[in-house]
Amino acid sequence: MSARKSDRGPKRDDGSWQLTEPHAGMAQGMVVSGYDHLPTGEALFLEFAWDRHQRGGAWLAALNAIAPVTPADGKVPRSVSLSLSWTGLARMGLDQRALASFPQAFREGMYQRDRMRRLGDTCDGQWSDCVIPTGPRWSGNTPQLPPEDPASVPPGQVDGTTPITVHAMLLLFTATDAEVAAWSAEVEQALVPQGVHVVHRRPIALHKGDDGIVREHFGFADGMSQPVPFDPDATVPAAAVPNGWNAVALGDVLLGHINGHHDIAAGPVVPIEPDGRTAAAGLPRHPRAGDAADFGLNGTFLAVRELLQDVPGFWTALTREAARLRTEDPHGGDVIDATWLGERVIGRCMAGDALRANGPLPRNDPATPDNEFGFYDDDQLGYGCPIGAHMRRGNPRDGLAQRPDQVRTLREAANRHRILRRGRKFGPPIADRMVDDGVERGLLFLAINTDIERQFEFIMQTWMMNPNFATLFDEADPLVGTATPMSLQAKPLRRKAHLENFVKLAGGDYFFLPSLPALKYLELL
Amino acid sequence: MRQTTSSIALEVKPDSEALLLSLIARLDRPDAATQPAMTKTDLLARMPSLHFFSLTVFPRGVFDPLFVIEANFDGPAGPFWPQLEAALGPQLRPMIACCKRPADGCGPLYDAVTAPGSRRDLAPYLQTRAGKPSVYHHGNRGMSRQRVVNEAALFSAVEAELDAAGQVAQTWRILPPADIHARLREKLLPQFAWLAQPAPARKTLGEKLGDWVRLAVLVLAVLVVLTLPGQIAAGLVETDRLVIAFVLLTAIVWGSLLRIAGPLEGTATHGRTNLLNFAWRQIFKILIALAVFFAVAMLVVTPTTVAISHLSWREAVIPSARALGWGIAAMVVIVLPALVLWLRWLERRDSTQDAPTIDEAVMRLMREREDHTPINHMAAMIPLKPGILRTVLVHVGHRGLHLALRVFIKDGYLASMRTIHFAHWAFVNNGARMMFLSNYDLSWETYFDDFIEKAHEGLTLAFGSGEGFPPTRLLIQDGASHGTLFKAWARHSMTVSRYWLAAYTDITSDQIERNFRIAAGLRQPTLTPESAAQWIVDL
Amino acid sequence: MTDPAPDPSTEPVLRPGPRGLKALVGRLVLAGLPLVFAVSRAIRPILKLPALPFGQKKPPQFIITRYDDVREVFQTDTAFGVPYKAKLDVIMGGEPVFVGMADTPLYRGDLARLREIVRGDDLAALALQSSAQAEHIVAGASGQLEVVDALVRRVTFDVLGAYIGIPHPPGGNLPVWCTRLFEFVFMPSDAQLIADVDRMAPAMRAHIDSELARRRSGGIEGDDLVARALRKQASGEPGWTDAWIRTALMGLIVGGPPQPPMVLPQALEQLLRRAKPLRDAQTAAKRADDALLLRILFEAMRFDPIAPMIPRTAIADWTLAAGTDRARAIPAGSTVMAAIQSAMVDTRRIPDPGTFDLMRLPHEYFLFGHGLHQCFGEHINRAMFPALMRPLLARSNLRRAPGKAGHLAKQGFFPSALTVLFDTAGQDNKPG
Repeated sequence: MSARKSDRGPKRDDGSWQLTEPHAGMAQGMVVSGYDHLPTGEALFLEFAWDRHQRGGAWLAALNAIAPVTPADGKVPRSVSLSLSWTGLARMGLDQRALASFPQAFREGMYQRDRMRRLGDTCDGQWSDCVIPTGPRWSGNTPQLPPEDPASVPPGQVDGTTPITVHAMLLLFTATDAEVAAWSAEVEQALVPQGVHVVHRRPIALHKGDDGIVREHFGFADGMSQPVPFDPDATVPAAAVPNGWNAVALGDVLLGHINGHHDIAAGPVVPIEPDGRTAAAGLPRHPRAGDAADFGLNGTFLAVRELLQDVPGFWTALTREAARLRTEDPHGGDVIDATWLGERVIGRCMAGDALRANGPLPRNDPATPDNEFGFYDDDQLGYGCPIGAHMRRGNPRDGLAQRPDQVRTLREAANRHRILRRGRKFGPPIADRMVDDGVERGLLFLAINTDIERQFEFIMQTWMMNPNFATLFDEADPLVGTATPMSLQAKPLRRKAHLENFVKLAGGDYFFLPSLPALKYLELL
Repeated sequence: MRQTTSSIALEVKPDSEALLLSLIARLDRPDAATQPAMTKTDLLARMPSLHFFSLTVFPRGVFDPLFVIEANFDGPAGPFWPQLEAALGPQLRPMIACCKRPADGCGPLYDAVTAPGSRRDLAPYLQTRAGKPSVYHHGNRGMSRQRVVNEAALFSAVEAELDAAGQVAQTWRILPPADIHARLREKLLPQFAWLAQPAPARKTLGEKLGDWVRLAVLVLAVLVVLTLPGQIAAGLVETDRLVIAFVLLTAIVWGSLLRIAGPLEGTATHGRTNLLNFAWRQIFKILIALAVFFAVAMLVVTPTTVAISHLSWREAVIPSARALGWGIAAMVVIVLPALVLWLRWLERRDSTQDAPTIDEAVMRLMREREDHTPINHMAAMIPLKPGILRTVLVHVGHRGLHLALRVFIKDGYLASMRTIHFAHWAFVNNGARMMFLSNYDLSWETYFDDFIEKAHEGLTLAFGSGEGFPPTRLLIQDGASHGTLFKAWARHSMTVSRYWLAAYTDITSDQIERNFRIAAGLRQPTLTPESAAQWIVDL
Repeated sequence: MTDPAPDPSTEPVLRPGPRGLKALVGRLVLAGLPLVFAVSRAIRPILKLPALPFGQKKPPQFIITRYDDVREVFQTDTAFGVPYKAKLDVIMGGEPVFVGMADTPLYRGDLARLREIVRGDDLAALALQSSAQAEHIVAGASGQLEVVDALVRRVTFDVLGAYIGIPHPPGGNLPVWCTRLFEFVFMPSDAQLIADVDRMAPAMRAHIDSELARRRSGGIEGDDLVARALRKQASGEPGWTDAWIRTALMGLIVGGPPQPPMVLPQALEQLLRRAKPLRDAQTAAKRADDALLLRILFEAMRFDPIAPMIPRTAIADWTLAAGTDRARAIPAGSTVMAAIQSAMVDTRRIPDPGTFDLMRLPHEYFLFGHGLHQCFGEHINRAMFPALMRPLLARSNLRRAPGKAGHLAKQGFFPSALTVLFDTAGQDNKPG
């Protein structure tokens, strides 16, 4: 372990990166920043309820006047991010050809039958225990095609239609609570005349602790590991830090750039028409389609999932399960308590440091947990961070390697499925983690990726929900997965914890996060 | 026990395609009025050696539709076909009647099995029409279906034993691994009597030897062909002229090669492996192979020299060695690079399909059927690039790949992946196309991403001979590294697996090996503390 | 042959087999058959027998040795008919009986009518009676038992005779008559046998006729096949004439009970040659696992089926194995011998045929023939075989008697005697 540490001493990757012009001025600021300096905000979920004669882009003009979408070119005192669902784009009157040029995952939405099954949201056609019992409350409500083979659909299959339809998601980031309250009221007022209604809202806050650490509601330090995009033509630094643990191609984060599979991350196109709208919006010509403009360049996709967290439920169950494990372990179980077990569910200790067999991974920088680590060298068998822990399923790094010569390939392979997480908490922090205060709280999970299938869905299906992940059998992610046993590797014999799900999907869908020129184009519709 | 992979490709009468599809669809949804419902469990009981079975209809395109019956099973093929007949004979017969009468000598047999009311067994027809895969790979080689199922049951019993609640649970954790092993074995032996018997060998010595011999023969044959130009030249030309020609040709070939070896604009993927450094990594093996070849070839070339000249045996040795030496030198320095040059020349002119047409309805149909279980099935059809070099390369390459997989893959891992149960390639339509059928773990996305990210060179080698493949460079570079392009191309080459029968759908290839290790340990009456410590990791 | 039952006849059941050189040749031929079959399968799977030099112009004869072709012969009943009709006519007095028919409405009707009285729910009782009587015999045998006659033949005829409802004929012995008539129909016959049959067949018919008349006059009591048939007749259902009933019942009793005394001793002989299968059979018997025991007996019979070959007559020209390079035209009138013994060890289709394998599939056996004329009594046999053999096989230390008696002896095609020894002590303590 010490050898590994000294190895990479000079190659440290501090995780900071920036876009260069012109891309910085085109991409939305949310791509490059989690707005650490803007700890409060609100997510407004919008429905376009205008009548059919209204111009689709008019509301954007109204929004622009009061909350212009923030580009990625600098620090701002308050920030706006806007993304649209497929139904939102359709409702705004985007050209059919343009709508059809979006990738299938976005066009079908998160509640397409086969996607729900893959994501683990349904099981045998019914909502799984990873979803609130009534089914999700909101989505884009993308119209679904009937199955090609009706026999493939289980009887009684839920249809994924939600009571609330969301056409756009507007995120407001501010420095103070007071500021956001006033601003969002103003925005709402400005949009109502445009026929745009706020149908759902969530405050989004960091709730930084006194120690400066952001914790999610269960109490674990959050957002520990982010990918660092690079591109010779569009980022600073231009190249990946050699042997860096978190380098990804910019094309995995922004459309129109080279992605992890050595191809240009292909985005949607809009036809170039005589009205000059594409030119007015500043959309470049598409490199492959002669008669179309590149609508995707510097845009990206968001996988959005509103997750409700049952904090007392989680800790009560862990307390009970820890007690059971303790009784089964009369000679070595003293250390086992709810926190011990919770840390293994996550794979990090409460402060965010990765678990190792002999304690948390030592820090290089005393202020922050180390994020430059693999699993193969010093925790291949999961005696520290269990093999099925949430963090390891979310990003296995090199942990799936079988032999030393595979470590590099496996690490690079894992990095081709990374997502940039921009999620924020909603709901107040809980006073006592064991006592139910009856308040809804949770995480508005926001994942930026350009290839929904290769990134977000892959992580969910192949890592999180995969019952056979890393040669485990019949287990799922212990935090967000369905109720299954979890193996806790140990000597002489693994323990097996029985866990339930306390993080449930309450709404969500796939959203398109357009570039500023693309937004301008939409405004001109 | 040895497994067999076999596929039968039958051209469909174009007008019968719809009927064929409906007959296949009926297998999963028997019409209660006309057909007794045969559950998959019934079918599997009637075919006890079967692992995976599929029926696919590749739609018409340049060719008429192609009906493919794929079967992966234990033991030789002969006894399997009657099993298939006993299980699905009445359903298969009208499907075969939807296919064309073979134009070769097999016609009367086709007539006999497809005649109205025919009672002639299908087995002989199926056997005659079964094709030999050009490459197949068995991820859990030597594991019979019965053994897979038995060891999975053992695994469940072990888990249940270890996780039994209450007092029992307390005692496990205070024992050292060797004692845990002994106690588990004692508890499970009554239920799993086979633990007391020695494990059947997964591969016999004969099988292993056979694989090696076949590979050696192939390598020798290739070397013979490639050294012939140099040998013949050495026989015809004096040394000084030979040297001049050698230098000249070397300069021309390498000069040309270096000029065009680089990537075409926008197609480079900065992979870490190319032919040269791949060869360099294998340099010792290559030198040994050449030395062995030299020794073996001398035994043939020397008598030949004696026969065609007036030299005595003793005198013939030096000229023979000279010819062989030139042959090998020319192969390494000129012939192989010239072939690579030829290939590169072709590669620079290849047509790459940037936007393969993907029928969204077919795509949805595929997705509807995928990912219901951890194991999935896929079927793809790939038209082959034309030309003599490509044809020879793909055939010799497939043979070599097949034998290399048989010889060198010992634990089921392809690179770092163990996701394949049974996969195979076979040439169809008289060699104009190749089909690829795979029974693999996890989702299609994962399966392909895995290969793109972890073994794109192998993927490029295996599929690069297909029309429309992403741009390749020097046989193994780029190509499948263009993951997005490659996946679109691969999806486009696929069609719906219309019917799929699997003896097990939730025991991944990896899990089969895990169960195997657990079972192998439990078959031992005792384990040493060291081996017990290693064994217990799998529990 | 010790048979303490009241036996009005002193005639032996089996006719004396050939002696001397002829017997030796016969034995050698039988012993050599597997090799002949193996060679035939490899090089001449559809073997035409050479015409004998001095023979008259006889129709050609073929021996079919491969699995595929044997299946084709059995499955193609439109081209390959059963050859028994002429001989059946002799014993049945010209009445048609299903065993000899082609696939006609008459055949199907006869079979369907027969199934109205031979019912599936009889099987349990037959099994129970068989095992009870067998247990009685074995228990009384004090550690040494002759299997062919004293156990199998006696139980089979007693149980099936009672089931069908035909008692010993006056002045005759049912096993003798039936076995002789069976031999006449299904095997080559000589002058002596024909003379026997000329005497026994009319007497047997008369015996059944008189039984029918006697039972009818007595008010039809009981639930045997005779009673069931007479009730059908009385209820006026069409087709249940005296002649039909007599022919059907005679077909059953002549065709059925003579067979178990052939195949079961042969199966036991095969088991005695193999330590593990014998052990398995004994374990299965002790656990009363009849399903497993049946599988073991079937697998044993695969090594020595009731006959190495089953004959068919070509009733139309037919190309056998059409479309393969061994295809051969079989002219109408030919005799086709389907070598089931060969087919059941054909490595082309039977995995590891030399292995005693209990996991074999139904299609790997031809023990009861195959196709249209698959044995009518198969279900009865499946129920009775394990029940009948279970009491003996459950005895500990089952082994051959010393000397020749401990090996299966044959008279002609018929097994004649096999004596085994077993422990008697503590047998009652064994779990049933």
